[in-house]
Amino acid sequence: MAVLPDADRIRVWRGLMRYRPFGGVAGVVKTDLRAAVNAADAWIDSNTASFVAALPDPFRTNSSQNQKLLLFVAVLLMRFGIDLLKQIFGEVD
Amino acid sequence: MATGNVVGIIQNTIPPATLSPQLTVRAGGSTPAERVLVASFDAATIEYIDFLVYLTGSYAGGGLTIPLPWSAASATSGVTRWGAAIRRMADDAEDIDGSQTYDYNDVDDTCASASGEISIPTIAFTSGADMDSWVPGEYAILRIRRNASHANDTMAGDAELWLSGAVVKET
Repeated sequence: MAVLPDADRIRVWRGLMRYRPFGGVAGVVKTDLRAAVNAADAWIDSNTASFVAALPDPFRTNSSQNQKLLLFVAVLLMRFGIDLLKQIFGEVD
Repeated sequence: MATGNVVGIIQNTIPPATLSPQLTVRAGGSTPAERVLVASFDAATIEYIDFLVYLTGSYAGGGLTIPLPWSAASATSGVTRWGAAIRRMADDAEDIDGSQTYDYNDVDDTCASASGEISIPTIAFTSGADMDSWVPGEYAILRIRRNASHANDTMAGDAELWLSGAVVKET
């Protein structure tokens, strides 16, 4: 897995600035937020192998890369808040 | 000299067909909550809003000053670059069907220390060509933009122009 193309990092950056629940961060301007997006993407790229290695079989062996990504995203969204998770995945009982 | 007097009457607020800010409400904290109408300008794309303005006979030729009351949607640091430009709708001369190259006067303004507070920078126009030779008794399109692509525009998040505060004053 490689880092996101710059155009996609820019999309993430713009999306965060437009997403009101994200809010403001004291002392942070556009370029600071952009650097944070880049760093987050780079960290994900650097640690993807470690994440995959932590997954148990048979899921690790039989799942696609996208399924592994969605698993990661689902757990992260739940940590953020169930409402956002529901917007993406539908009802989560 | 009518310095500081309001000389322009805002007839209408008109979002352009494209690249317009979201018209929304900034809620206050009182009970019942206040609702301030705002135009919320994007941080990543240049957006525009137009005002149809009538220049009254009390304008004495001293140029114009446009106050721009605005608040940050969420930010507490950073600069927003506002621009204003005038398209004079001269009687039996200016065709709205034609294209105008808007010539902007700009101001860079640091956001208030809290996102719910307003800052009021001003943009000035000298009398004559700088204000498209707009004269009393005529209408004009006053176009306001946030130049989010400019290097000086550093504030992350939307910039909310308080629409109820739009006025045109004599400098």
